[in-house]
Amino acid sequence: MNNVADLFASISVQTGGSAEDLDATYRVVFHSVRFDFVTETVRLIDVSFSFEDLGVQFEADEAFIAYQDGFKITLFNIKRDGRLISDEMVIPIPGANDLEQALEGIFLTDLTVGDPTEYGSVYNYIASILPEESNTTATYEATPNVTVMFNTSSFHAISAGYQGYIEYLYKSCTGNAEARLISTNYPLPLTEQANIQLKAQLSVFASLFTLIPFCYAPAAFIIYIVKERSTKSKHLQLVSGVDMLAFWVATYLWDIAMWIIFTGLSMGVFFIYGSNSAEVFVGDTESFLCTLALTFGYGLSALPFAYLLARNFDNHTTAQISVLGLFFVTGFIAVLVYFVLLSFPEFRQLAKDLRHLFRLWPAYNVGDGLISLARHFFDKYVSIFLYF
Amino acid sequence: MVSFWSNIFFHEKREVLGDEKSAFHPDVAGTHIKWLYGLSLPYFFLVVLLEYSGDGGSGGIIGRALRIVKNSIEKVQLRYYGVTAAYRTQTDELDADVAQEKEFVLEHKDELKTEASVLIVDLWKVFPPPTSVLGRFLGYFRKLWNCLRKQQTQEETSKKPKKAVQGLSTQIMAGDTFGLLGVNGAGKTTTMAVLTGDTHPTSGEAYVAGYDVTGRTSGGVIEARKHIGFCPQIDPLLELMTARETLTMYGKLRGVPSNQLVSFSVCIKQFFSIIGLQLIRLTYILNFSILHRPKL
Repeated sequence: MNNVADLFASISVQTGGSAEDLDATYRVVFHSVRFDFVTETVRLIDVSFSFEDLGVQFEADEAFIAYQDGFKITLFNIKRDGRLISDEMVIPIPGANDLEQALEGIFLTDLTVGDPTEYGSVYNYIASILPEESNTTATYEATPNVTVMFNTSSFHAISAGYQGYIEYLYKSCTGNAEARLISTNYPLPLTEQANIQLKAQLSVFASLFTLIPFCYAPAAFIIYIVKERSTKSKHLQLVSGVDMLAFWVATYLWDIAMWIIFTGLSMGVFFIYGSNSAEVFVGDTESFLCTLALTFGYGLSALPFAYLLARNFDNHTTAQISVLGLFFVTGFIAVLVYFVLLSFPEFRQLAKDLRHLFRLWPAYNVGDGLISLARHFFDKYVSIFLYF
Repeated sequence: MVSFWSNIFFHEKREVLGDEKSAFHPDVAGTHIKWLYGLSLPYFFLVVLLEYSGDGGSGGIIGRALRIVKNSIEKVQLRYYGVTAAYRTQTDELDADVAQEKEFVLEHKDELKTEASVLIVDLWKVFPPPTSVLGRFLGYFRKLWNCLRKQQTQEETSKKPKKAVQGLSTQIMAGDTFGLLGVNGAGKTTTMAVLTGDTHPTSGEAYVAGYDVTGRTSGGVIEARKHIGFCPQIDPLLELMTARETLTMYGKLRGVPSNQLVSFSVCIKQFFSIIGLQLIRLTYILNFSILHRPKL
């Protein structure tokens, strides 16, 4: 064996090249058998049989006769001269209506193997023992009986397993246990479709995880509101002559001014990730404006919503944590609840009804809005390929 | 996982073939934006209306209407718990001088209204037990928690209405210095809250400088507040302001004219040197010690 290419050549000849010679059907003759009636099924042990035209005798450790679309005999551990050739081989028994006839069929008539290509390694073996002149290259009798197992969840597993198999072949052919085959993996780049699809899916996650800090933000604004009330500072201001509407408008306007900074910072984060990773959110002018409108509008409605919730608290730390929790429930959890309920057909209507309630919660609107953007991006570029 | 994505991307039957909709289309994010902007003002005005209903002096006609609604709800609640006019007459026996003062006030009510700077006539405040949904919900949790820890649950005392002020009557003339003393829970804080227009009394009348502070008349509280200088028992300080800023703010609120602000700031400086805060008048109240806060 000079190089690996020769090895591949011989393998291909074994399996492909001999097929012409095996076009004919072979008659299987059973020579001897022992019965074992201990179990209910008919078990044959120490089976000996041969393919008539070849005149080569085989042994099988055991065999079963079973009914599956007609009676069939299944042979296990087929050997020749003590060497394992195949694990299993199934031969149909034609014309047998019951078990007795099937047993008779084995010994009185010779069974015919129809299409020999069905019989795997026995077929390969037959190819290898055909008269030498029918083979164009030398064949190796040592057809290894190898099972390669691989994990289907990873893409590279098949090729890695195949590499192991080839290395094993190489070792057994060269007789050198230290022999190594080194293979290098050059994966193909993602296709345009796969790239966009991945981007859309990741953007859904990005929307969900952007929603979490969005739930925290309004809670920071109400600390001062609650503090001002619990220290009676607001009461003192009112007694000193501040109008209630003026107080709240001033508070709201100041918080909106702070929120503008927050919006700027959030959009900055989107831009830091660039128009490639965050293409869904800041890829073109329209989606950028949409994200900006969602982020800023969230502040406009979330701040008064937080003021409403903060009315129930006297302690600013409790208020902050509780408002944070309530925004988390009304935002992050509500978005998830909606999509989880959608996945059950019987709850689909419930999900759509609940959505009217969810609409009243600012955090839900911003989370679902961002996911809508991702879905829109997906519709624009990907779904054509998926539908057809 | 497949089902998750199909839920997100295909939960509606839509015609998608290179969808060229705008991002602001109602099917995309338009509805969300509409709701976000549409909800902002309703929520804000809900906050303002709720605040109007809690404070005696604000909101004009709307505020007064809201307070009437709130008070009638409170009255229905109190009636449910058995607090009626008859209940309020069952007072403990009064000391002789207290009874005498009460009689005097009731007799000369109309004259005193204009003469006395503060007049309180048979003031009652009964708080109904709290009915907050959130509080009740948390209460159930606490009960469950105590149950799990095998601890005795405390008897709920909050189920009864709480009598804070029982038939207080007094008159304070101009120039008087009046000390309102009492044991814990006697109703001192509630009386002050009524006089500053923060709380609405269950029954009775209260006048400051001749103006009604119970919120029944329009503008009464606002006018009365112009004559009130108030210092609550907790230090009502904003921690992120300096001492000078605090005084300047209240000065402006009290109506110091803008052309006198310079002399006002000189005044503040002198004032700080009198009370011994001149060195820390520009530091944040956050950094003040416990001793310095009440001084301010």
